[in-house]
Amino acid sequence: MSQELPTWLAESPAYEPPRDRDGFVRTNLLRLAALPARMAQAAGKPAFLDRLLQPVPALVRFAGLIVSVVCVSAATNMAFVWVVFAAVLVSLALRPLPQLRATAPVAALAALIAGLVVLPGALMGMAPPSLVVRMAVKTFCTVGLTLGLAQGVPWSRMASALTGAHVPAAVVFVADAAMRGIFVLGRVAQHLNESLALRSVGHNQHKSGSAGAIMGMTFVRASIFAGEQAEAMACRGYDGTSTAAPERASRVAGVLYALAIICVVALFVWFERAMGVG
Amino acid sequence: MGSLDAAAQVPSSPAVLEMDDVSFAYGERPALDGVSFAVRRGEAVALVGPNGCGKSTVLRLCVGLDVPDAGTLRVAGERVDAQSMADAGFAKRLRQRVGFVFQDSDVQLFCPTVRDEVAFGPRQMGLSEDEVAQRTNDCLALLGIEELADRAPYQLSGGEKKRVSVACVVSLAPDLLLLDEPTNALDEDGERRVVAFLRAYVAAGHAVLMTTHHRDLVEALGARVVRMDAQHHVVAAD
Ligand SMILES: Nc1ncnc2c1ncn2[C@@H]1O[C@H](COP(=O)(O)OP(=O)(O)OP(=O)(O)O)[C@@H](O)[C@H]1O
Ligand SMILES: [Mg+2]
Repeated sequence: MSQELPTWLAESPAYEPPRDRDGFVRTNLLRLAALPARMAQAAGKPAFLDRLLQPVPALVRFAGLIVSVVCVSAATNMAFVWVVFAAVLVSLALRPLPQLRATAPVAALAALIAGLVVLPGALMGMAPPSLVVRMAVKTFCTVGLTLGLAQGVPWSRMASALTGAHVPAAVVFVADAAMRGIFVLGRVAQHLNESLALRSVGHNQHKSGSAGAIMGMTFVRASIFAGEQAEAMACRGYDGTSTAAPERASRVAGVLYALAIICVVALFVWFERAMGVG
Repeated sequence: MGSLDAAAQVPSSPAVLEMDDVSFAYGERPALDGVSFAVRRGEAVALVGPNGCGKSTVLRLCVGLDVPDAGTLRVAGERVDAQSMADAGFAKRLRQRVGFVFQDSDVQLFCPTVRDEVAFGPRQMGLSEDEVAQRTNDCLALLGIEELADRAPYQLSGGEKKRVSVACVVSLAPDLLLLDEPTNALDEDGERRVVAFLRAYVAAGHAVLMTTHHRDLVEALGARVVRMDAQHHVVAAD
């Protein structure tokens, strides 16, 4: 069987791409969607901080996260928030470069968005200008803390911890499936994004259109994948009970970590009481 | 723009792709260790080796999805590295010149219909709608998928999707075609179609670099074999 190529393909004439400002929305939206996959890729070797906190039970760290986030959100005194902000910056700085690259931009982007949301109000005099900074810094802290935990404690360990805490298996399973879904979504988005970049060789008049198509396809793919995975699990005899093995962790480390969290709360209370609104 | 060094070394025909002592790692995990080989115009090269030896990684580097940690990579004489890829114009030119068919077709297809999918690249290049339609019809015919034109890509079978993903890359009129395990999902007829197309493509003076685990595909294409080992080295290029 021999084939003739059309002339446009046989000759493959030289191509000079037109100038095109690559869509800010497209790049950043997709970058955000691809985050779980990038975080998993960056996971590699545990950071110094994560090795140090390894023996702390996952649930204690989770509780610590919730408490810190609540304190930061509720704080009326910015001094406390600045202390936490400094701590988050230090913890980010202690991470290896790939992990830093996966987290810091997201925290910064979230902070930027939070600031922008309140900016019009501040400009029109309906809110104090300091609110813009306040929102941005608080958002940076909470997102930074959350991503830090997500990187430090693999989800499989969190699922084990929940099982160990006698949380019903069905609840753990649903949470587990949701986490996997988020991860798969991220990976699918990353690959579709690469494929779009490879074929975006010119001026893209339908930028938001293709970003939308990719986001839509991401959901289609992820839901197909979730369905196929459920079928595969059923084929392997999954009956809706235990998925995770119990966690092994140190009680002493847990108590020490809990004490540290109590110190954070004490700091929060002290700043709020002693220094008032600042 | 292009350097002619490569042509001087290989009098028969100029190299479209040259890897010289290229190393690359995903974080801490090495994927390529001092890999060197070249692909010339008018030839098909098959990259073979055990799972995880780095074949797919070679293809990712060739199209600039990742850049070498060390060593040099040239496509059509132009160096591909972090610096050149930062230039959006260079990246776009590279991606028109080098077509990449992913191993997993699902990640490659994102348009509502097969026709839109194939037309996406030519439209990006700013061709007139007449030219776009011409190229689209040609590509559908070349891969024997005319009857799929109005279907949704994600509803197709694995083999159909594979032919669509080849068509949607070919419509960019690339000079070098990279294919990651192209025949895995294909039946005999599908494989014959793709092989016939690739032979014509190579005969027209273009080049093909593919990864595969199938000897018969290598033979059907008359491809030169570049073998890698589990230590991420090239061990033999005949
Ligand atoms: N995204 C990634 N993150 C981390 N490691 C990766 C990634 N992709 C590949 N690797 C690793 O890099 C090495 C080379 O992978 P690659 O996919 O290039 O192998 P391959 O030769 O194509 O294998 P196969 O024949 O199975 O397709 C493997 O050890 C793999 O585990
Ligand atoms: Mg591979």
